[in-house]
Amino acid sequence: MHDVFTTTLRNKVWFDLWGARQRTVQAILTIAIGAFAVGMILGSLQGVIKDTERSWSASSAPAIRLRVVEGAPADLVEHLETRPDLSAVEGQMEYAIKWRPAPDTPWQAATLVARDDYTNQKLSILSLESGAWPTRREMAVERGYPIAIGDQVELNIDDHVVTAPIIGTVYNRVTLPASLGGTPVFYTTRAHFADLTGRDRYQFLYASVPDYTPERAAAAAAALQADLKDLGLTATPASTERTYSIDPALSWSHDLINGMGFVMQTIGIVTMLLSLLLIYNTVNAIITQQTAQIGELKAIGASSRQILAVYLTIVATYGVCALIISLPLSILAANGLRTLLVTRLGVTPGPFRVEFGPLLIQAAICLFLPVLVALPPIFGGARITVREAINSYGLSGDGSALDEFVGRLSWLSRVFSLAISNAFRNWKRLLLTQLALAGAGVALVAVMSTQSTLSYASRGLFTELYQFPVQIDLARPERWTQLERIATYPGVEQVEIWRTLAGVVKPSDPASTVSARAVELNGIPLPSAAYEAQMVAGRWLEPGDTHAIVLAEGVAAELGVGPGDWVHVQLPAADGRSIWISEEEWQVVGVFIDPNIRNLSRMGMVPRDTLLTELHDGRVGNRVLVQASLSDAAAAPAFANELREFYDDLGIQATITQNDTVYQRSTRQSENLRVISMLLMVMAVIVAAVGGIALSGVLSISVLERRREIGVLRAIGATPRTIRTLFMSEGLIFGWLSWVITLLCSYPVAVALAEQVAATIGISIVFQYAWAAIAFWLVLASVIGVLASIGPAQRAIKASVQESLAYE
Amino acid sequence: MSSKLLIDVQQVTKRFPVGHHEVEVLKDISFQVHEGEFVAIVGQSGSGKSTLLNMLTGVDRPTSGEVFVNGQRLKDLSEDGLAHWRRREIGIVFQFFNLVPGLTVAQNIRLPMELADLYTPLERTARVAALLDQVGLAERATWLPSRVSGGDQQRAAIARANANDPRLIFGDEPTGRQDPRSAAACFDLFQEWVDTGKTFLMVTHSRALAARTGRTIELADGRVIRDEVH
Repeated sequence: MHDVFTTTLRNKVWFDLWGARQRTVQAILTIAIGAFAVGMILGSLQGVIKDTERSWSASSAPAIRLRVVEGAPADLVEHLETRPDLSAVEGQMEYAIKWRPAPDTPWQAATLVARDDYTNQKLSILSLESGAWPTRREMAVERGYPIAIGDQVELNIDDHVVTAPIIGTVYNRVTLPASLGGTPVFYTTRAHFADLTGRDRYQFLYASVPDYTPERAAAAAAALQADLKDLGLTATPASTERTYSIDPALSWSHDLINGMGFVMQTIGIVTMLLSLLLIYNTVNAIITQQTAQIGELKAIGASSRQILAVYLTIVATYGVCALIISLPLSILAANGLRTLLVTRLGVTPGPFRVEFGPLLIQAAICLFLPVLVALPPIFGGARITVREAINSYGLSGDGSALDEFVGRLSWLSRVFSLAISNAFRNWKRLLLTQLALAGAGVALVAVMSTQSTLSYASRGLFTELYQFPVQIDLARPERWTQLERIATYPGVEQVEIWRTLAGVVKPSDPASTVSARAVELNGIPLPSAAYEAQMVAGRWLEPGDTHAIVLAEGVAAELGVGPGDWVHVQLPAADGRSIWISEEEWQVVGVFIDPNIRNLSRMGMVPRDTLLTELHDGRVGNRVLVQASLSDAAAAPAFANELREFYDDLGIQATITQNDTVYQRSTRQSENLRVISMLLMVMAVIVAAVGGIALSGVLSISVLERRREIGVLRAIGATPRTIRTLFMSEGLIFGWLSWVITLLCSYPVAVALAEQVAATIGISIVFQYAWAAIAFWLVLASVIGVLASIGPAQRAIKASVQESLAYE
Repeated sequence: MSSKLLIDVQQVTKRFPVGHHEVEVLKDISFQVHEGEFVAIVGQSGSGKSTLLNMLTGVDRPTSGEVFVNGQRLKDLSEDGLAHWRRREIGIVFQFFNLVPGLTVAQNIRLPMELADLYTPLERTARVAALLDQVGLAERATWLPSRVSGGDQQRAAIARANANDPRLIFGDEPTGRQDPRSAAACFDLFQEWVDTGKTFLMVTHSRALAARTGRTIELADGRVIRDEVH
């Protein structure tokens, strides 16, 4: 058996690659962009997952997380450590305080935390980033805030101001990081904590169970609650899921990471499918263009194997070149994107590295997929008979119905009607091209619509739901008559008082196995002027309702309840005097949209009067919503500060939070979702780039295929302008057609993507279709349609008629 | 005739679909060609000359009837089998030359030898040089087809047809692009091949050229209307 791939055939391969450099570059870029996108997306996703998992596992997260309303004494923690159903127990003291960097700056919200022994932590481990652990008077601070070692900050603890020297920065993997709108945490010793706050008990108990299983953790948590109850202590759920026990492998950011993963995997798959279509189109176009040559080779004795060898070598060379180009770029981009995303999540990014799984996928995309998708057209080319390849016998078929129809449109210019006929002549090519282009268009619109929807969930939806721009939370419930005095403050137009507290809710159905969850219950007046609910199911609260509850969509889903169902609600006493001041059945009457991320807000709305009755509280409230005439939303935080000072003067203690105003809450929500939004925008750019290259590649190769046609047109008297117009028109027709298909198909795909992303992150959404993306795709498709066809056409025009006619 | 039967065409008919109709291009054609003959197939445009040549070279297959070349029934060969058969048994000069555009003139001539795995590399080089010399293209050896004239391309195609020294060569208007002097030189070359025992069968519209061959088969409307030995 002699060498199938002869020297001369190798020369032909070289000529096809180098002699048609423009086509080669186009084909390589087409493969490279798809492989790059997939490599970057999967590489960064795997990196993000590894970095966050590594970071989280270093924290030795607890399986049981309780908040003890009355506080747990230190000896209780020591005693609990001896329990056989627990493997480790850690207590944490926490207290809400205020801080400021300098005496003349405004107070800001902060948390003071103390642990028993920072050098011997067992659970929810804090890492010392720099400096030293807290000593008697010196404190450490959570990293990521504008507080440095050596700074002296002022802390306001129940109106008692102290100066705290900062000697260390701490990395707490369990709290919301600064980048996502967290508040600073100051770490001190237990003794200093007790001195400052007058409390020496642990507000939080963390515990782990031996050989974790969900059942074992739930059983241990239940036993622990029962023991605490016997001791007169009330335990409420304190996990990120607002449950008593939780899988310790689940980080607080797992919803966000899942959301990111879903977006990235979806776009990765879409990009890969687009790439496959592009590669198929490109190879198909090249084989179609070279049909005559295949016939010539066969006519002089080349076998199918030799034809296959020639074209598979060409395609494999495209793949190798694409891999050489895309591999280093995707490794760099994946590391860059990983670092960006991980940093946004408040996690320390791992070192620069290569993820081998995505790398192998990328190599397969470059080396195998092009060959695989090229096989059908190449086999088709190799199977073609010599006669089909090189002879037409001068016999021509009838014109198509479209040609006849277009021919009858006398008002259409001759050139444009020829462009329409050309664009629709090869239905297979048209279909595949449009599949790739419209696929890119649909993906772009879906991604941008999801982005718009998330953006709306962070901005517009807040303003629609919360009619009053300012919300003041109080340290403890106060009498309405006192609170309503704020109505006299200049600028205040209307005041509404709510009573809020964290209750524990679980389905009443005894057959339900759903865990109890802590839910922020808002007792609101009926009707409420301050809150305009958007319902998903059931109805809103009505005057006359008593034990009726409306749950946020995410909470209702977690509890597995809907309108008509009953839930068991436990209410702790505000001052911790007794365990569960109320344990009643409430009926779910509706489910509403809550734009907050589920792990940051699990809300339920109840009639205020009923709640107050259950709490034996009288006419008191701890949340004041204020309608005010403000110049703009950004002015609200300053106004909130003025109102807080007004209350201070009345002896009413308002808590300092970052959530005083709708503006701040929507800003914080934007911050939380920014990582997803950012990712969606990156994906949109990738999809647009892939789509753009798809269109330009298809059109460029289409023009190159028809150099002979250009020669013929010129030979029979077509001017360069006519030819330019013809190809430009074809480009526009391709681009516009893809736009029309995108317009028709994108809405359901966008809705599905947005809903899935929202469900993964854990927020409720009101879908927003990205009309701007549709407009953008029209512009992009038009511009690329013109540019991609006019360039090659221009080069073809510059060649002599003889050269064009000889082109193969 | 005492020489060996080389081509045996038996009642060949060829029909093509055109739109919703069928056109019969060859109608029940039969003839034989013996070794060493120099045959011209003539006829008006559309008479079926090129279609007939395609039947003889295995480029296309008859709708009905049989074609035997050197005892081989072409119908029995697959597309690949035909390729292998062509590389060893025949040479073809196409009407539009059909040179491979990415290869130089010399490489185009060398390619059939490599495909058939004939001759050593050194012999191939020497043979390419000799063939180029025969058609007067020695100075164009390293030129790409797109850089040489149509006449030169046709002469390169003639040289390529003889690359593997086949016993049977077909030509479709093989001198159609030549100036009179070159055409005459090429014709002399064909005659030289025939004189050395090869069989040459060409399609031409030129009756003058046909008259210089040993035999003329004339087609009209898909039928043989004249088969004349000169």
